[in-house]
Amino acid sequence: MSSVMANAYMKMFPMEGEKKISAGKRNPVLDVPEFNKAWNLHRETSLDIMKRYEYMSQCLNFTDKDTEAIKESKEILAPHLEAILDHIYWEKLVNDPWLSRWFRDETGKIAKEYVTIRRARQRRFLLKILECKWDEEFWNFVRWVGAVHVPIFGFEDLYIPMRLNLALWGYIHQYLFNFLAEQLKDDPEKLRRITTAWTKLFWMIIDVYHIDYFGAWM
Amino acid sequence: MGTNIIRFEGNCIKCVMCIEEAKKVFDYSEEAGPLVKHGVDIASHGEDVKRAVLVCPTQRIKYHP
Ligand code: HEM
Ligand code: SF4
Repeated sequence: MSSVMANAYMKMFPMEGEKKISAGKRNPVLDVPEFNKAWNLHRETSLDIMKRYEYMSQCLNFTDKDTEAIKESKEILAPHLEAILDHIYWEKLVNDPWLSRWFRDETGKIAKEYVTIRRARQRRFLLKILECKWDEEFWNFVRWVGAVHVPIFGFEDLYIPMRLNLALWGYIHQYLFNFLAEQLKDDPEKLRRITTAWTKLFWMIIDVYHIDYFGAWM
Repeated sequence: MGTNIIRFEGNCIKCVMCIEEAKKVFDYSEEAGPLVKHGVDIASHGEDVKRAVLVCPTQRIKYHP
């Protein structure tokens, strides 16, 4: 825990550094050994983000080979990142009958400023992924971005439902895969490697992003 | 006059994303969040500052190029 991001994170969640003591209330659900085990696993891996990563990567068999594949894909995606984002945000999302509702003002018109902001944030997020460093700093970043969307930072009226995050990622995921399929149409083996790795990574990211939707101290 | 000024308004949740976008312009303080570096030529990093404005989740950074 030494990076600026990690320090900032620990400041936001001082309760994470403290030892957890039972409130003394008996919860009958936790008497069922399977639930008890699952709960402890959830709690431990919420308190120690690298444990969560290790656990999830074991579940999904996310290995160095997957990291290599994502690095390979970086060569394809990075040079096109700005164009990809422009296309997703300025051509697709603003014209999608359902998803475009995110970007409309009170009068129903597309609020350009808002699209610009959202694109900038997605860009920061994707750039961070493309660094391909799955260290504590990275996972705290993912977790922190997720946490921004629920009221724990004091934005009391801000609550972005999980289904909206999933809808947006589903969309981006699909878009990236179509893009890769086009670029790699002559190399199906490479395409398979890369899309498998990205699917696993997205899964882990979605998990960590939503950790604070269910606080471990709850 | 009155141009190329950076102002801060409202809360900072110390996420340091502005620093990542505009390292040459901001220093980071644990207490205050981003601080504009002394003597920095803001205009020459205008694009970086604009990106910092966009990513800030609390919309705290105001920039007038
Ligand atoms: C990288 C940093 C990010 C920050 C700081 C951030 C912050 C925010 C904030 C403050 C809002 C509330 C509305 C607003 O003021 O803009 C919001 C909305 C939202 N964010 Fe993020 N976000 C980030 C990245 C992401 C990512 C990667 C996703 C991907 C799933 C995402 C999904 C959403 C969705 C679905 C909404 C709701 C849209 C709506 O209903 O208008 N955000 N975000
Ligand atoms: S991006 Fe905004 S909230 Fe985050 S550290 Fe900078 S000023 Fe503070």
